[in-house]
Amino acid sequence: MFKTKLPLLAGIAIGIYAIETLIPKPLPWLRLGLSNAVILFVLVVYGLKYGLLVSILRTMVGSLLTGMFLNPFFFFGLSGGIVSTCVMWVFYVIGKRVFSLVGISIIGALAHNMIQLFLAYLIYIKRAEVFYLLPVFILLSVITGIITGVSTIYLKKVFKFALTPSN
Amino acid sequence: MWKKNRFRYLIHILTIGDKILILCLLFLSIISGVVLKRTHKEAKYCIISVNGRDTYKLLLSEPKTIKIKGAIGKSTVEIKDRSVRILDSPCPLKICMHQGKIKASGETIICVPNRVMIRITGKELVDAITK
Repeated sequence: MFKTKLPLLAGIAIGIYAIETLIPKPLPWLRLGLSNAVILFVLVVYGLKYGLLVSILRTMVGSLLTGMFLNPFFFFGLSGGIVSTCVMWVFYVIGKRVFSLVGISIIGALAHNMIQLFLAYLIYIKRAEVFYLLPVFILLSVITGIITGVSTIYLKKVFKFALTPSN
Repeated sequence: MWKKNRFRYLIHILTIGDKILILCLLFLSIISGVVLKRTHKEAKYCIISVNGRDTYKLLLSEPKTIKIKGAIGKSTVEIKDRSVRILDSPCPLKICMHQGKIKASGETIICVPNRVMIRITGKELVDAITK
């Protein structure tokens, strides 16, 4: 059933999100964003509504698990997730012929990072020095976007059963 | 066999749009990095404010030791080797003295009891010159 697959996929996204925070990284808010692969997959297979649902669920339950619920980073993550999901959906609908899933996931990662940077500028730091991080963020978006996009393509291969929503 | 061709497979799944996008973003990242580095303001001045008003604006390149009259006494500020520190202060905890030297743009030393604040900036602040 379609309705039983979606929570399973959301669960996978949450699991990846929680495990990702355990990986040591140079900056605390930096993450690979592999759970984005699941969201992109849901977006492609089931559509925008369910993609957003899984994205919001991932951030909420994931932050509960990692102890970040309702702190400022939670709201950054939530808004970044929602915006990047919408952007990926738009680019998937418009540019399906032009971009593969790798390109769409790069765009999603970029949107996610830019929104967070902009919010950090708007709410927290309010100084133009924040934008010195811009080149680093673009570079990181490309790298994580490629990794996430390739994993989405593999995910699509593995989860053949999810590709037929009717059964 | 599949493992052997994995890399070729990864190249294969990228469309032309993807490749253009990746190249554009890498280019953008490098360009913006270069531009930001060019426009980066070097730490040039230190601004000393007493009681919330900017009182002194001093060039970091000129070594100098000055006494500043604060709320409870005189603080001694030393500028040396493009860095600033408070040498002596009448405040009880001496936090400002223990903070040591500051030299990068945006750094601050704040002495709350004496109401002295020192900050480093690269901007040409015209208003700060007026006493």
